[in-house]
Amino acid sequence: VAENLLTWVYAVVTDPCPAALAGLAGVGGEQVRMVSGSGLGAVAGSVGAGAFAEEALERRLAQPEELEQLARTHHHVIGTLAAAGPTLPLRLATVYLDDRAVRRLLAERRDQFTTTLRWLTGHTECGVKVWADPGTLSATGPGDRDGTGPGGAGASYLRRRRADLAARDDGWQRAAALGDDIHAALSARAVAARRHRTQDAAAAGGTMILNGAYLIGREQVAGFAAAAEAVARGRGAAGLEVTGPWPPYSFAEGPRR
Amino acid sequence: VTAVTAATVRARSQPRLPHQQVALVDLLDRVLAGGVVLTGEVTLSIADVDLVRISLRALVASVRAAAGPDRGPAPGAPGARRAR
Repeated sequence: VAENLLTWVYAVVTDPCPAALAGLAGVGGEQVRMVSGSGLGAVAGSVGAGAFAEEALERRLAQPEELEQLARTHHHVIGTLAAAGPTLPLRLATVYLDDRAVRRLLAERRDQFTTTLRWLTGHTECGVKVWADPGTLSATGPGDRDGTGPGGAGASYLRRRRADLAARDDGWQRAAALGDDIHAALSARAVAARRHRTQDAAAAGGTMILNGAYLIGREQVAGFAAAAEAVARGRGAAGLEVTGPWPPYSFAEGPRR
Repeated sequence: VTAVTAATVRARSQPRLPHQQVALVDLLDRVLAGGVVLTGEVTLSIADVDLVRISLRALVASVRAAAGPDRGPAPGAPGARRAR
């Protein structure tokens, strides 16, 4: 008895390029293929309902190893396509009952997909993560260390404590403003920009203040990375990491309307 | 104001080679919060927010497992909590 199959969709492309798909395995180990319609191609694969129906999939996404495997395979397919031509990535875990539903989707969204693919052509995504140390960004510094002013030791302690707290708040505000400032400077060099949530990953001497994604020309990756370093260095960031080039995941919704 | 030192700047100005693996945390930012959002027929209730929530739970578990009892997350490792 053949297992009931579902259709997992990876990406939408304009110019179906079957050569890039040869031998490419998908999230279920299946051969990745093209579902064509409305002048577009949905890159998809048939996966078993036993492992990919809603409940089973949700369970798998909650398992770290399975989540990683699904994410990396989804990314591998999208990355292979993006190296071959304009590619519109779909969010992880977009699954349809059959190919007919995918063709219907291509027909319904044809204009949106076509516009976005045209906009993405010749561009790629770079990630920039920036860290700052709020402690060193405080202008006021730790307050009033020695003074036992009016009110004696107790009042002096409270004043000192309040000043420390104010300095800390000030440092955080400056760190947030620095993130905004660096993002604005990098956005000015990009076709489009988006901010992801900051990752709570401690790095040497800092808190992440910017987790940005920038859409730039394919030939501008090295130049953009150098510019990002110069911008972060010039504004007093504590650390920087440039990632990519990525398929344009962060810009799949198209130009801002 | 701290100056950025060469040691703390990890700019990779060269495109990554295909065999180099991307950091999972950066990949999840993109495959879970990026990409075209369509409501797949089969994954109707695995909407956006749910997907992020279940993946965060998975990340927390993986960081705890990787860190072990004595060590915190390594610099650059996915954190156990992400600010919203």
